[in-house]
Order: sequence, then structure tokens, then C-alpha cells
Amino acid sequence: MSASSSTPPSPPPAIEARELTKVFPLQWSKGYMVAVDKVSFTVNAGEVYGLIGPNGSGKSTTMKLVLGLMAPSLGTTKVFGLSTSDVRARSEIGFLPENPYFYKHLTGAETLRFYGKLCGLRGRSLQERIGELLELVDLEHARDRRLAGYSKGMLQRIGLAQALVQRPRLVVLDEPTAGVDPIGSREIRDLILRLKQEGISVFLCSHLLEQVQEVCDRVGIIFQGKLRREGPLDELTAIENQTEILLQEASPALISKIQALVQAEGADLLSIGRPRTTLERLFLDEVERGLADARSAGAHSAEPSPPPRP
Amino acid sequence: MDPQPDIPAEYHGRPRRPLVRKTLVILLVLWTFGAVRGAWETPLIARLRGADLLQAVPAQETETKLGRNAVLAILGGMRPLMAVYAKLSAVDKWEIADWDEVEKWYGITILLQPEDYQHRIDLAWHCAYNARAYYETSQHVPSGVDRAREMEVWTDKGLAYLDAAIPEFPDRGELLQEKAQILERKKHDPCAAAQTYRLALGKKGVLGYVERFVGYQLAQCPGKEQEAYTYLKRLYDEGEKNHLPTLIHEVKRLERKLQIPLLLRIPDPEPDLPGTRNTVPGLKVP
Amino acid sequence: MSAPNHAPMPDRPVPPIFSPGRIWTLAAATFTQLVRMRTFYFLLFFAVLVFGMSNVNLLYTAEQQLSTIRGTSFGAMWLFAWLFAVTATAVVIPRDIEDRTLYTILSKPVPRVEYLLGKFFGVLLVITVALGAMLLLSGVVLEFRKAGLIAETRIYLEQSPDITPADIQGQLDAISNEGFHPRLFTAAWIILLQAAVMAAATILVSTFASSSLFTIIVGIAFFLIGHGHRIAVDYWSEGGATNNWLAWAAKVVPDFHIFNVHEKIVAGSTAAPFVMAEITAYAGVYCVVYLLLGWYMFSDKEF
Repeated sequence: MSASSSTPPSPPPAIEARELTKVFPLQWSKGYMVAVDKVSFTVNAGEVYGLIGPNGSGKSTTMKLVLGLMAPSLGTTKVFGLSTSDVRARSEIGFLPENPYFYKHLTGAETLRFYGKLCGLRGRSLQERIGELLELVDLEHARDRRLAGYSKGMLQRIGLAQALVQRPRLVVLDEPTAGVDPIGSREIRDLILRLKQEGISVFLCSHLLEQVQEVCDRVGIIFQGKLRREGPLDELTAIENQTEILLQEASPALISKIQALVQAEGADLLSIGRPRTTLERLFLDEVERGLADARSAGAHSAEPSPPPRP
Repeated sequence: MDPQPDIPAEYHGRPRRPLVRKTLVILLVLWTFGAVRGAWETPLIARLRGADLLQAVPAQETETKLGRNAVLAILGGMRPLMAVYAKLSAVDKWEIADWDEVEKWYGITILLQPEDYQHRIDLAWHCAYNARAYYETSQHVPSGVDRAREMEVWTDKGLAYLDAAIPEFPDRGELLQEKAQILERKKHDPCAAAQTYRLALGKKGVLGYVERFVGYQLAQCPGKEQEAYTYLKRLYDEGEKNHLPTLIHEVKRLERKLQIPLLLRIPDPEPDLPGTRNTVPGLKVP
Repeated sequence: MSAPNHAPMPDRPVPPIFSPGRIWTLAAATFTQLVRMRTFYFLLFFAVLVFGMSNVNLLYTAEQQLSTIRGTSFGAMWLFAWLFAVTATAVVIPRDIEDRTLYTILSKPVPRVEYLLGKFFGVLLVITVALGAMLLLSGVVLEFRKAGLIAETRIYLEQSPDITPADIQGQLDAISNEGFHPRLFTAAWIILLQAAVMAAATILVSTFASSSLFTIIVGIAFFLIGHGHRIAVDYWSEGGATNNWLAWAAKVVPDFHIFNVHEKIVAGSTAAPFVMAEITAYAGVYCVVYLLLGWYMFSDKEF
């Protein structure tokens, strides 16, 4: 970058993958398998990027290449301009693996202390950070409980907290809601959105399309190791030759008029009906209603965790 | 994911197979390290053996040496534990007077801990005292001739074990002391006993009384009376510490036998001194 | 959920390339991990063994009784140390991979060499603490038994009119010498050194092994070969064999014979400080070579 440039230098992208390729040798034979095939994508700073694809499509391998847990056969990956093989790059990354298992003999606070110390945090700043994170993932009540006694959702949340311990600028999440119930899933989704608000870049691998659609700015679709489509979510999901009109309190007469107008213009009216809520939304609404009823009846919930969410 | 046979040519040679390459590099480094460290290791081992910090099995038949070395090598530090077990087994067989088994289990104990001379002493003691005493009164061997033969066989075995062990522990006096005691008490050979006690003098583990034992045995050895008298008188003249009942008794006896002039004789002992003894408490006597 | 505080740190300090603090963090975690695996139950076995040996009556002499307690204690310490070094080291890394804990650790700014060193020192820490506890226990038992034996022997010897006070003192000194002696610290140190070399060798094996079982088997084989190595060398040096291939192969395998020094020290020999320093350096060189090779193997291992 030239020092004499008149415009200020743009920040480096959170992830920059170029022609990323991973070829695995097959055991006991001379054959090999291309797990990731010339995948190029960019995750801009502050963006939530979703990499979606079916099981075995190359998502996890791509993620490991980004994390530096694997070396690419060809191509490069950079995190904030640093090669992923550079230890410094990993100061900028927080990683939550799929179904994380941490040291079960440690408590929640000890787990965060352990990862914090690995990131060079010490003393009071580390203690404060542990408190913040436990509050953030709503595990203060379980701070001194061993992880062996954590539920799957709690493990996922403590995993997310450890990923954030050194205040990374990029968070890599591998199937963050795998095996988590809808309430826990919703909490994690909300947390991802909060991270985005904070300007933290998120790289999310998932095969839960709805979840990706809810939180991601851009998505890439990977299949058989190749990146098939990539771009902003709105662009990718828009159907170019169709238009959707959503009305509220429309009378039958108004709908008849619209139908006539469409017919007169020679266009096709594909469907008229009531929009449906998602099953997840329906489930969450019912749970929240039930909790509200219980509260109003003065009943005490037997479940200390998780508390109700708005 | 299925292998893709129609892989593009540009990926050829891309899948890295580092395991084979790296294993070869590691073997090469280990070999080089082995070649280099030999120059340090061999003299270090020699020095440690010289400083009595490493077991050096002395020259023996190759088979025995290899066997012992193999046990040393394979069982290593676990040998003391196994030796205790073997010794417990030997004690168990001793209680039922199965002397062949006692011998076998002591053999194993010695194989496990060849560096512990005490096992050799124990084995010799079992043979020359316990097995011998057993055959002296055994009802299982009715013939008196056979019993006498067995007694001699087991006594000789005890001596043979000690004779085999003594060259392995040239600096230890306990083995010679044990041999001398068997010669004295069971073979009734004071001349050989005196000579063996004398060999033990100045070696490790030999206490002061052995010096007196040399004199006591010489005193019993036919033809050695003058030498015994000179030896014991010298000890007597060293002072009060050696004015012990047995020593005084032997000197007085030799004075009479050698007709030493009265003026040169030592004073008579106190009349109430106890009788003579040639044993030391703590030593194992059946 | 509360409001997060996630202001990025633009002036993030560059993490050091090598950090003893991170190694200590990993070692401490490995220590607690192993302790929670009920490692120290071995100490109960040890206590039973040592107390049992102090009460077993094999018609030993007083010196023998004490030397048997010593030999048994150090035999158990030796067995625990090297076997634990192999099995614990063989388990800790594969378990991290299996539980994906390794992913979260290596995705932090932790160089892989530090991870290996953390595991190595964690295992050594457990062995050091265990050896210390065993040494203390055997010392207490030895001294307690020694006091009893000296009192009994004194009473017995003083009954004999034919034994001089000097002889009695000599006998009591001989018993006293068989009790706990500071030289036993050096024996325990050598046991620890051998365990360190075994842990380093096992780390090397575990960096390319596919299972813990394989690592344990290879580790134990490595140990046995390391101890058997000297038989072959001594045999060749006497002209017993001239097999060039075997001579070549012997250079690849280690020679652990030197660590048998602890047996003689337990039996009564004393090692001079410079000898101890040389053996320590010897073990250190082994550890460095094995750990460097392990790092070489682990540096670009893919998970």
C-alpha cells in the first residue's frame, strides 16, 4: 500500500481465501480426494458470513484451513491480512467447534481462565473478562459448576464464551446450534446478531439454512468441495422474475381488484394466501406464553436455567 | 466423500504424504544421535561402573551372564519387588523343609538381585545350617549313613554357593565371614576357618570381633598354637577393650599349653566371669 | 442476556512467539486433568506395600529389613514413574483430539511446540509430586522401623559380655546406615529423569500414532529395548557377535542403562554431584532430541 495514497487504507478483510484447495491422500492406496476445490471467498470486517452445504461437502475442512488447523494444498487464506499459519492471526480468531467438549473437570470460570491465560490474559483483567463473559452467555449461576454437569446448550454457550475471551475480531462457529434446543438455538442466534452489532466478523458453518438466513449478511453454498454460489443473502434469495406484495387488513374486494388488474396486464398471479409463521417462531411463542402464564399464576419454575427470554 | 478418479492434472503430486518422509527423517536423526551419543555414553558407563554406581556383572559363563543381564534389563527397577516375592516363596518352602524348593527360590532371588550379596549368605546359611540340621534328625531318612551323607552334601552346597559368590564381591567381608563360620561350626576345620576369617579382615562389613575370631580359630588349629598365642597376646596387650572372657580364656589355655613363663603370663581372670563364647548375638544360628 | 462489551482491541499486543506462561498454563491443566483421573490412587497401593513390607518377617537381619523396605519402595516408585510416563503421555494428546479440546487450544495463539511442552511438563509434574509423596512415605516408614530395630539390637547385643562397646556401635552404625539417607533424593531424581525421557519418547510416538493403545505398546517396547540395548553392546564388545545390521539398528534405539544408577544408590552407593549433573545433562539431551522430533512431526499435523 502506497504511503502517498490520498484515500485512507481500507481495513483488511476478516478472511480472505484465494483458490483454497485441500487434497487428501487416501490411506493404503495411491488415490486421493479433493475435499476443497479452489474455493475463493472474502469475509469483510464486521460481516456475518454463512458457509452452507450438506454433510461432507467440505465446510469443516474449509473452516480448519481458515483456522490454520490444516495447511492448504494450494491457495492461501489470510485473517486480517495475516497468514493463518501465523500465531498472531489466531489472536484475532475465536473458535467454537461443533459439539465442543472442554476439560470436564474444570468449572465454567476455570475453563474461561484457562483459555484466557492461553491468550496472555492475566490477573484482574482476566477476572473481569471472565465475569463479563459469564454474564454475556448467562452462565453466572453455573460459574463454579464442573463442565461435566453442563447441558449441551450450556456447553455451547461456555464454548462461545471461550471463543470470545481474548476479544477476537473474528469468530468462527461450526454448527453452533447442533444438538441445542430451540430456546438455546435462539439465544445463540441473538448472540451472533449482537456480535455483528459490535462490529465483530462472524464466519458460520451450518447446514441449518433457516438459521443462516436469519443472521448472515452473505452466504456461500459449498457442495462436493466447490463453492457453487456466493453473495449477499438478499441477492441470492431474490427471484428475479417474481414480485411479492404483502398486505394487511386487505378486504376481499381489494383482492378481487388486484386479481383483475394483474389479469388485465397479462401477468400470472401465482398464489394468494396468508403468510405462515415458522415452526420455530410458533414453538418459541408457545413456550413464552406458557412461562408468562406460570409467572402470573405465581408458580415457580423448577428449571433454574435457562430463564425466559423476550 | 468418495474418491474422485478423474482428478485434474494440476493436483497431481499435491496430496502430501508427510508421514513416510518424516518417519525417515526421524529415523535418520535418531541414528545420528545414536552414533554421536556413543562417544559420551560408553565412557560414562565405564566411569559409573568404576564408581560402583552401575552393576557390572563380572566375567562368568556367557549363558549366566546373558541371563542375568536380560533380567537386569527387562525387569529393571521392578526386580526388588519380585525378589521379595521369590524370597517369601523360599521362606514358605523352608517352613515345610522342602530344601530343593528353597534352593530354587533363592536361585530366582539371586537372579533377580545378583548385586545383593546377602541373598548368597542366606542361601548358604539355609543349606549349611537348616538343611543340615533337618537331615540330622529327619525321620524321612531312616539310615544314619544316608543322613550323615545328606548333612555333608548340604553343608558343602552352602560352602559352594559362598565360593561362587566371593569372587563377585571381592570387597565384601560378610561372605568370607559366613564361610569361616561354616568351616568352624559345621566342618570343624579351625585351620581353614582361621585362614578365611583372616581373609575377611579389612573388608567392608567386617566388625572388630572377626579379628579376635582369627585368633580363637588359630588357637584350635593343631600346630598353630604359638602363632595363635602371639596373635591373641598382641590383641590382649592392645588394652582393656580386648580383655574379653573368651580371649582371656584362650590366652590362658595357650600359656599353659606352650608353657609360657609365669612372669610373662597375663593375670588370671575374675572368678565370676561367664563362660567362653565364640558367637555374636544377631548372627543367625539355627 | 446482558449487554456485551466487545469493543475490539485495535492495539492488541503481539503475542510472544514463545511463552513459558502459556506452557505453565497447559502443564497445570494437564496436571489437574491427570489428577482428576484418580492417578494418585497408586499412592494408596504404595502405602499398603511399604507398610506391609515393614511388617513382613522374612527372618531378615536388621540391615536386610531396612534395605528390603528401601528396595521395595524404590522398585514401586521406579515402576510407577516410567509406566505412568508412558501411559499418561499416550492418553493426554489423543484425548484432546477426541474431545476437540485440541481445536480450541490450537485456535488460540498457542504454538504447537508449547502445547507439546505443556503436556510433557504436566505429566512430569504429576510424577514429581507422586515421587515426592512416595519418598516422604518411605522415609517415614524407614526411620520409624530403623528406630525400632536399633533399640531391639542394642538390648540384644548388650546382653553379651563378649561384645565390646565398639562392636555394638559398629553394628548399630551398620543398621543406621540402612535407614533414610539424603542420597535417596538423588535416586528419586534419577527415576524422575528416566520418566522424563520416557515421557518425551512417548510424545514423539504419539505424534504419529493412530491410537493410545499403539502408543502405549510402542512406549513400553521402547523402554524394554532401551534397557536391553546394553546387553547387546556388552555382548558385541566381547566379540560375541558381528552382526552389522543389528549394530546399525542399535544406534536408533536409546540406551537407558545409565538410569539403572538409582539401584546402586538405593543399595548404598553415593553419586558425586558432578556425576548427577552429567546424568541430568544426559537425560536432558535425550528429552530435547525426542521433543524436537515430536515437534517436527506435530508441527504440521492435521486434525
